[in-house]
Amino acid sequence: MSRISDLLNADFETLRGALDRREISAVELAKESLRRARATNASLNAFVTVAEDSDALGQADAADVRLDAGERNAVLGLPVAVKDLILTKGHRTTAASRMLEKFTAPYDATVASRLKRDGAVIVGKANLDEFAMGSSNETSFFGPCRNPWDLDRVPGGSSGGSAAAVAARVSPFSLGTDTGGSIRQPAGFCGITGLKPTYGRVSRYGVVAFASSLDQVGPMCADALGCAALLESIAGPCAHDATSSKREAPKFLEETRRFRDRETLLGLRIGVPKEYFGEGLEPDVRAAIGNSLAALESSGASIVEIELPQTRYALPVYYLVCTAEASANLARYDGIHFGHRSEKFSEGTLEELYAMNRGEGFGDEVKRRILLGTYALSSGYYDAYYRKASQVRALIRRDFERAFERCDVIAGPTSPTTAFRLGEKSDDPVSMYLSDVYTLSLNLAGLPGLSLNAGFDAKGLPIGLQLMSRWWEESTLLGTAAFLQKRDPSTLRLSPVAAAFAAGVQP
Amino acid sequence: MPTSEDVIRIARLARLRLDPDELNPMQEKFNRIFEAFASLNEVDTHGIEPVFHATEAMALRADVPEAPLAREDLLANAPDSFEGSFRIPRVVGGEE
Repeated sequence: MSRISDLLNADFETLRGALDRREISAVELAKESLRRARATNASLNAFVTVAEDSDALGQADAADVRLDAGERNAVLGLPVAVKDLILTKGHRTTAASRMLEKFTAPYDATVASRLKRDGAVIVGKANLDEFAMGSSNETSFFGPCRNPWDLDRVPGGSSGGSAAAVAARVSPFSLGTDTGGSIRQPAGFCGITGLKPTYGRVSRYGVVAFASSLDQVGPMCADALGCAALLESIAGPCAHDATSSKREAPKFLEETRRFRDRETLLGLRIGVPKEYFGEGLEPDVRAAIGNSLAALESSGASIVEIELPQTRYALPVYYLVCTAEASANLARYDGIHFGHRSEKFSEGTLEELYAMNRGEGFGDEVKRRILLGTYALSSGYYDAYYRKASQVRALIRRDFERAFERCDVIAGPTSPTTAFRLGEKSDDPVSMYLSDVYTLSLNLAGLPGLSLNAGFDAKGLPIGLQLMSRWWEESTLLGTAAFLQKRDPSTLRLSPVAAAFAAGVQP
Repeated sequence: MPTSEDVIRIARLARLRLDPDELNPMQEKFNRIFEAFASLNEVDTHGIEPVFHATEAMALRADVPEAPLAREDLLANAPDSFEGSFRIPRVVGGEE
């Protein structure tokens, strides 16, 4: 058991402190991170691409020079895994699709260029559901990623690789994206912390578009402080994204530390929506969330029962909106300007060439969603489906506005169950969609939300607690999570894969 | 509820070739999804303005041209190119 290995398994503050005091170097950390990525990729499949040594160690070396010169920032020298939906210049970026199997990013996404500006070290491109369409990482063209808590189970999705990489402590940080729960649900299934920021807080420039009015990039880390650090690097206005907000990002790390160190939570009102505790919720999940609420209350917070009556319509609204937007966004993949080109085409119409390229390049779930969205937008069905869904979306948003008059934070389970087995739901799209039933509403309203570990079920699988706040109040979420994590560090327990690294065993 | 003719029609609209053996499973899953969507009809949305966007108004920028990516960088991802242009196989006919 080495010092580097211990530190890669440690919490954010310990790791940051050791780097800043120059007790370890960024190069040593990156080497261990890359070693772990390669050692686990056959079993976990968390990465579509692990970075080349020369590349990642070059970035780490540059970070060491800056650290030696006295420069300090929250992410300088720390390894980060980037979801393979985010463009990183000169590297393959696949969206886990055959369509982009050979695509090399010609420029950096804004979030990638900000990480590079701040000296974070990109150690690989994390696995995901194809085009971020899925809740289990099983739709990846490169094969499913597995859960570091139980290799027979899914890590959740779509940011499954990003969550697994952190849960296995391959990298202390990762970037995910969240369209309907794709950061929070895998964070919950893998026992880590993940934040979906307010829509517009983080630039979408250079992120492969799925549903443009819902997509948002966010941080994933073992603890809330790490998420605050990573968010601080990537957040803020971006001229290349018209939907990015002009608001300057606050000092998330400082604000989160201050909140964590509060004596009590007096004055904080926690809203508990009764609709999030209905049918389908596993008893162990219900019990763990109950314990978290009790911990908040005993720390001085007040618990208020609230109503989000439109919750039961979030699923159809979400799937109509996201598939409509996806059908438009994915129209660009023609196999001519870039993307998969069929080799079977000999002669025919241009439409047939497009259809063959796309029919071969996209997987089943992506095709299903493109067709669903095309149908919902097509002449004669638009009013009944897309417009109707967008009206109910307005009502969902109104639910939240009313709820936040009575509370500051809404708390409930991230998912109704813990991680399910591979193959368990892959044949039934509706039951798969239901695993996101508590996370979808938030994206429809553009609100920020966070998932943190709240304990474990009888099988030892992590249970996610979801916190939501008003628009632009990510610091309240990060702070509340950091407060809970300081109070009960057992929620930061290592997964078996990470524990094996600590014991010097090859997992 | 979409019929199998609908599925064939929208696949053509979406420029998506479906193999004959893909059609039935697609149709069957489609129907299950639309069954789950039917609950939306319960909601009274009379007079409700639809929301198409998540939050604030979009930020506009000055309409000033910027340097585009280099031609060779863009062509580098094309499945086929020739003398600085995208190249496709010979196509004939088509919808007018």
